[in-house]
Amino acid sequence: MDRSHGVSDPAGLLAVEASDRGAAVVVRAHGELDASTVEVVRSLLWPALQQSQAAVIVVDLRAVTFLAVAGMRVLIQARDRAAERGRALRVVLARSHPVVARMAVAGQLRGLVLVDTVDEALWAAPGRGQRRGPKMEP
Amino acid sequence: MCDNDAACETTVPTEVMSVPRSRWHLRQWLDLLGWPQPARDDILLAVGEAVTNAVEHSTDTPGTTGPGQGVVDICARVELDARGARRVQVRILDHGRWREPDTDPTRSRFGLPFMFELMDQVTITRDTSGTEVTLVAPTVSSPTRP
Repeated sequence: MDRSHGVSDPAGLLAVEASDRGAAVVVRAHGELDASTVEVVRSLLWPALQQSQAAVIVVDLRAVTFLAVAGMRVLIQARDRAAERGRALRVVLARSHPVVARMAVAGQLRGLVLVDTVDEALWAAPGRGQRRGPKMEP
Repeated sequence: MCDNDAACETTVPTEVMSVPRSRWHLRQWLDLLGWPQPARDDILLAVGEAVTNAVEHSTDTPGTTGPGQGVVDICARVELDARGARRVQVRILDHGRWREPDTDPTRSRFGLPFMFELMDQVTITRDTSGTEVTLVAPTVSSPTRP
Protein backbone atom coordinates (compact mmCIF):
# COMPACT_ATOMS: atom_id res chain seq x y z
CA MET A 1 0.00 0.00 0.00
CA ASP A 2 1.28 3.43 -0.89
CA ARG A 3 0.68 6.00 1.83
CA SER A 4 1.81 9.57 1.17
CA HIS A 5 1.92 12.74 3.18
CA GLY A 6 3.48 16.08 2.52
CA VAL A 7 4.62 19.24 4.24
CA SER A 8 6.10 22.59 3.22
CA ASP A 9 7.83 25.52 4.91
CA PRO A 10 5.74 28.60 5.91
CA ALA A 11 7.16 30.66 3.03
CA GLY A 12 6.33 27.96 0.49
CA LEU A 13 9.87 27.61 -0.84
CA LEU A 14 10.08 23.86 -0.47
CA ALA A 15 7.47 21.13 -0.55
CA VAL A 16 8.42 17.66 0.64
CA GLU A 17 6.35 14.51 0.26
CA ALA A 18 7.03 11.12 1.80
CA SER A 19 5.59 8.00 0.26
CA ASP A 20 5.72 4.81 2.34
CA ARG A 21 5.96 1.77 0.11
CA GLY A 22 6.59 -0.75 2.86
CA ALA A 23 10.08 -1.94 1.95
CA ALA A 24 11.07 1.60 0.97
CA VAL A 25 10.17 5.19 1.81
CA VAL A 26 10.55 7.69 -1.01
CA VAL A 27 10.94 11.33 0.06
CA ARG A 28 10.59 13.85 -2.76
CA ALA A 29 11.48 17.53 -2.46
CA HIS A 30 10.41 20.35 -4.79
CA GLY A 31 11.74 23.90 -4.62
CA GLU A 32 14.66 25.61 -2.91
CA LEU A 33 16.62 23.67 -0.30
CA ASP A 34 18.74 25.90 1.91
CA ALA A 35 19.14 26.73 5.61
CA SER A 36 15.63 28.21 5.68
CA THR A 37 13.93 25.03 4.47
CA VAL A 38 16.19 22.25 5.72
CA GLU A 39 13.91 21.61 8.72
CA VAL A 40 11.10 20.63 6.36
CA VAL A 41 13.24 17.82 4.97
CA ARG A 42 14.29 16.78 8.46
CA SER A 43 10.65 16.73 9.66
CA LEU A 44 9.80 13.99 7.15
CA LEU A 45 13.12 12.22 6.91
CA TRP A 46 13.73 11.64 10.63
CA PRO A 47 10.40 9.86 11.28
CA ALA A 48 10.97 7.80 8.12
CA LEU A 49 14.34 6.71 9.52
CA GLN A 50 13.04 6.02 13.00
CA GLN A 51 9.52 4.74 12.67
CA SER A 52 9.03 3.13 9.28
CA GLN A 53 9.84 -0.48 8.56
CA ALA A 54 11.60 0.44 5.33
CA ALA A 55 15.01 -1.03 4.58
CA VAL A 56 15.70 1.73 2.08
CA ILE A 57 15.08 5.45 2.31
CA VAL A 58 15.17 7.21 -1.04
CA VAL A 59 15.52 11.00 -1.17
CA ASP A 60 14.64 12.38 -4.58
CA LEU A 61 16.11 15.85 -5.12
CA ARG A 62 15.68 16.11 -8.89
CA ALA A 63 13.00 18.80 -8.51
CA VAL A 64 15.14 20.94 -6.19
CA THR A 65 15.94 24.16 -8.04
CA PHE A 66 18.46 25.51 -5.55
CA LEU A 67 20.56 23.27 -3.33
CA ALA A 68 22.82 24.67 -0.61
CA VAL A 69 25.40 22.90 1.52
CA ALA A 70 22.86 22.87 4.39
CA GLY A 71 20.75 20.51 2.29
CA MET A 72 23.63 18.14 1.65
CA ARG A 73 24.55 18.26 5.32
CA VAL A 74 21.15 16.97 6.38
CA LEU A 75 21.50 14.10 3.92
CA ILE A 76 24.87 13.13 5.36
CA GLN A 77 23.37 13.20 8.87
CA ALA A 78 20.47 11.09 7.59
CA ARG A 79 22.87 8.63 5.99
CA ASP A 80 24.61 8.17 9.37
CA ARG A 81 21.29 7.67 11.15
CA ALA A 82 20.19 5.17 8.52
CA ALA A 83 23.44 3.24 8.89
CA GLU A 84 23.02 3.10 12.67
CA ARG A 85 19.66 1.44 12.11
CA GLY A 86 20.86 -0.98 9.46
CA ARG A 87 19.07 0.86 6.69
CA ALA A 88 20.27 2.29 3.40
CA LEU A 89 19.84 5.91 2.33
CA ARG A 90 20.03 6.69 -1.36
CA VAL A 91 19.84 10.12 -2.95
CA VAL A 92 18.50 10.70 -6.44
CA LEU A 93 20.65 13.55 -7.70
CA ALA A 94 23.00 14.01 -10.66
CA ARG A 95 26.68 13.64 -9.79
CA SER A 96 27.29 16.55 -12.15
CA HIS A 97 25.17 18.89 -9.99
CA PRO A 98 27.40 21.89 -9.06
CA VAL A 99 27.03 21.36 -5.32
CA VAL A 100 27.61 17.61 -5.55
CA ALA A 101 30.63 18.01 -7.82
CA ARG A 102 32.25 20.65 -5.58
CA MET A 103 31.60 18.73 -2.39
CA ALA A 104 33.05 15.61 -4.00
CA VAL A 105 36.25 17.51 -4.85
CA ALA A 106 36.43 18.79 -1.27
CA GLY A 107 35.99 15.21 0.03
CA GLN A 108 32.73 16.09 1.78
CA LEU A 109 30.31 13.54 0.38
CA ARG A 110 31.51 10.84 2.77
CA GLY A 111 30.18 7.86 0.92
CA LEU A 112 26.73 9.32 0.32
CA VAL A 113 25.09 7.03 -2.26
CA LEU A 114 23.87 8.93 -5.33
CA VAL A 115 21.75 7.37 -8.02
CA ASP A 116 20.16 8.74 -11.20
CA THR A 117 16.58 7.50 -10.81
CA VAL A 118 14.17 6.39 -8.10
CA ASP A 119 13.90 3.02 -9.86
CA GLU A 120 17.63 2.56 -9.59
CA ALA A 121 17.45 3.34 -5.88
CA LEU A 122 14.61 0.84 -5.38
CA TRP A 123 16.14 -1.79 -7.59
CA ALA A 124 19.26 -1.78 -5.45
CA ALA A 125 17.16 -2.22 -2.32
CA PRO A 126 18.26 -5.18 -0.24
CA GLY A 127 15.69 -7.84 0.64
CA ARG A 128 13.77 -7.09 3.81
CA GLY A 129 15.24 -10.20 5.43
CA GLN A 130 18.70 -8.64 5.28
CA ARG A 131 17.68 -5.70 7.39
CA ARG A 132 18.50 -5.62 11.02
CA GLY A 133 15.70 -4.64 13.36
CA PRO A 134 15.29 -0.94 14.15
CA LYS A 135 17.33 0.22 17.11
CA MET A 136 16.00 2.41 19.86
CA GLU A 137 17.17 6.00 20.21
CA PRO A 138 20.11 6.09 22.63
CA MET B 1 16.02 46.13 -6.13
CA CYS B 2 19.51 47.14 -7.24
CA ASP B 3 19.40 48.58 -10.76
CA ASN B 4 22.95 49.86 -10.69
CA ASP B 5 25.36 48.40 -13.26
CA ALA B 6 28.33 48.60 -10.95
CA ALA B 7 27.15 47.70 -7.47
CA CYS B 8 24.41 46.07 -5.43
CA GLU B 9 24.06 46.63 -1.71
CA THR B 10 21.54 45.19 0.67
CA THR B 11 21.18 44.79 4.42
CA VAL B 12 19.24 41.86 5.84
CA PRO B 13 18.33 40.86 9.40
CA THR B 14 20.13 37.93 11.06
CA GLU B 15 17.27 35.49 10.54
CA VAL B 16 17.17 32.40 8.42
CA MET B 17 14.79 33.86 5.81
CA SER B 18 17.56 36.30 4.92
CA VAL B 19 19.34 33.41 3.23
CA PRO B 20 16.81 33.02 0.39
CA ARG B 21 15.89 36.72 0.33
CA SER B 22 19.47 37.90 -0.17
CA ARG B 23 19.93 35.21 -2.81
CA TRP B 24 16.90 36.42 -4.79
CA HIS B 25 18.10 40.02 -4.48
CA LEU B 26 21.57 39.21 -5.80
CA ARG B 27 20.18 36.94 -8.51
CA GLN B 28 17.98 39.75 -9.80
CA TRP B 29 21.00 42.07 -10.03
CA LEU B 30 23.21 39.48 -11.76
CA ASP B 31 20.41 38.78 -14.24
CA LEU B 32 20.11 42.51 -14.91
CA LEU B 33 23.82 42.49 -15.76
CA GLY B 34 23.28 39.46 -17.98
CA TRP B 35 25.82 37.52 -15.95
CA PRO B 36 26.44 34.16 -17.66
CA GLN B 37 25.74 30.71 -16.26
CA PRO B 38 27.09 28.75 -14.43
CA ALA B 39 29.13 31.67 -13.06
CA ARG B 40 25.97 33.33 -11.71
CA ASP B 41 24.88 30.28 -9.73
CA ASP B 42 28.39 29.79 -8.34
CA ILE B 43 28.27 33.33 -6.94
CA LEU B 44 24.81 32.71 -5.45
CA LEU B 45 26.00 29.46 -3.86
CA ALA B 46 29.13 31.00 -2.33
CA VAL B 47 27.36 34.11 -1.04
CA GLY B 48 24.58 31.91 0.31
CA GLU B 49 27.06 29.95 2.42
CA ALA B 50 28.60 33.14 3.78
CA VAL B 51 25.18 34.61 4.65
CA THR B 52 24.13 31.30 6.22
CA ASN B 53 27.22 31.36 8.42
CA ALA B 54 26.60 34.97 9.41
CA VAL B 55 22.98 34.24 10.34
CA GLU B 56 23.80 31.04 12.23
CA HIS B 57 26.65 32.56 14.20
CA SER B 58 24.71 35.60 15.25
CA THR B 59 21.95 33.41 16.62
CA ASP B 60 24.52 31.31 18.46
CA THR B 61 26.03 34.14 20.45
CA PRO B 62 23.88 34.62 23.54
CA GLY B 63 23.73 38.09 24.97
CA THR B 64 24.94 39.85 21.85
CA THR B 65 22.74 39.45 18.82
CA GLY B 66 19.83 37.10 18.37
CA PRO B 67 17.40 36.23 15.62
CA GLY B 68 16.24 39.42 13.94
CA GLN B 69 18.29 41.66 16.21
CA GLY B 70 21.45 41.97 14.14
CA VAL B 71 22.01 42.64 10.48
CA VAL B 72 24.20 41.34 7.68
CA ASP B 73 25.45 43.77 5.04
CA ILE B 74 26.00 42.40 1.55
CA CYS B 75 27.90 44.57 -0.91
CA ALA B 76 28.49 43.27 -4.41
CA ARG B 77 30.32 45.07 -7.19
CA VAL B 78 31.67 44.44 -10.63
CA GLU B 79 35.38 45.00 -11.07
CA LEU B 80 37.91 44.57 -13.84
CA ASP B 81 40.92 42.35 -13.43
CA ALA B 82 44.38 43.29 -14.79
CA ARG B 83 43.40 42.07 -18.27
CA GLY B 84 40.13 43.93 -18.38
CA ALA B 85 37.89 40.91 -17.79
CA ARG B 86 34.86 41.40 -15.57
CA ARG B 87 34.40 39.70 -12.26
CA VAL B 88 32.20 40.11 -9.21
CA GLN B 89 33.45 40.84 -5.73
CA VAL B 90 31.05 40.41 -2.81
CA ARG B 91 31.63 41.48 0.78
CA ILE B 92 29.47 39.96 3.51
CA LEU B 93 29.71 41.74 6.85
CA ASP B 94 28.18 40.64 10.10
CA HIS B 95 28.44 42.07 13.53
CA GLY B 96 28.57 38.89 15.55
CA ARG B 97 31.32 36.45 16.27
CA TRP B 98 32.16 33.68 13.82
CA ARG B 99 32.39 30.13 14.97
CA GLU B 100 35.77 28.64 14.10
CA PRO B 101 35.36 26.34 11.09
CA ASP B 102 36.31 23.14 12.90
CA THR B 103 34.52 23.51 16.22
CA ASP B 104 31.06 22.39 15.15
CA PRO B 105 31.01 19.03 13.37
CA THR B 106 27.62 19.60 11.82
CA ARG B 107 27.85 23.07 10.41
CA SER B 108 30.54 25.50 9.38
CA ARG B 109 33.18 23.06 8.25
CA PHE B 110 31.06 22.17 5.25
CA GLY B 111 30.35 25.68 4.01
CA LEU B 112 33.85 27.09 4.19
CA PRO B 113 35.79 24.65 1.95
CA PHE B 114 32.86 24.86 -0.44
CA MET B 115 33.31 28.64 -0.79
CA PHE B 116 36.98 28.08 -1.59
CA GLU B 117 35.98 25.61 -4.32
CA LEU B 118 33.64 28.11 -5.96
CA MET B 119 35.60 31.35 -5.72
CA ASP B 120 39.02 32.60 -6.88
CA GLN B 121 39.65 34.35 -3.56
CA VAL B 122 38.08 34.03 -0.13
CA THR B 123 39.24 36.38 2.61
CA ILE B 124 37.88 36.25 6.14
CA THR B 125 38.65 39.04 8.57
CA ARG B 126 37.46 38.83 12.14
CA ASP B 127 37.69 41.51 14.77
CA THR B 128 35.75 42.58 17.82
CA SER B 129 33.13 44.40 15.72
CA GLY B 130 32.29 41.35 13.61
CA THR B 131 33.35 39.33 10.60
CA GLU B 132 33.92 40.37 7.01
CA VAL B 133 34.03 37.77 4.25
CA THR B 134 35.25 38.92 0.85
CA LEU B 135 34.57 36.66 -2.11
CA VAL B 136 36.12 37.24 -5.53
CA ALA B 137 34.46 35.17 -8.24
CA PRO B 138 36.31 33.91 -11.32
CA THR B 139 36.28 36.31 -14.28
CA VAL B 140 33.75 35.88 -17.05
CA SER B 141 34.67 36.50 -20.67
CA SER B 142 32.01 38.85 -21.99
CA PRO B 143 28.68 38.91 -20.24
CA THR B 144 25.93 39.68 -22.70
CA ARG B 145 23.13 41.98 -21.82
CA PRO B 146 19.63 40.55 -22.01
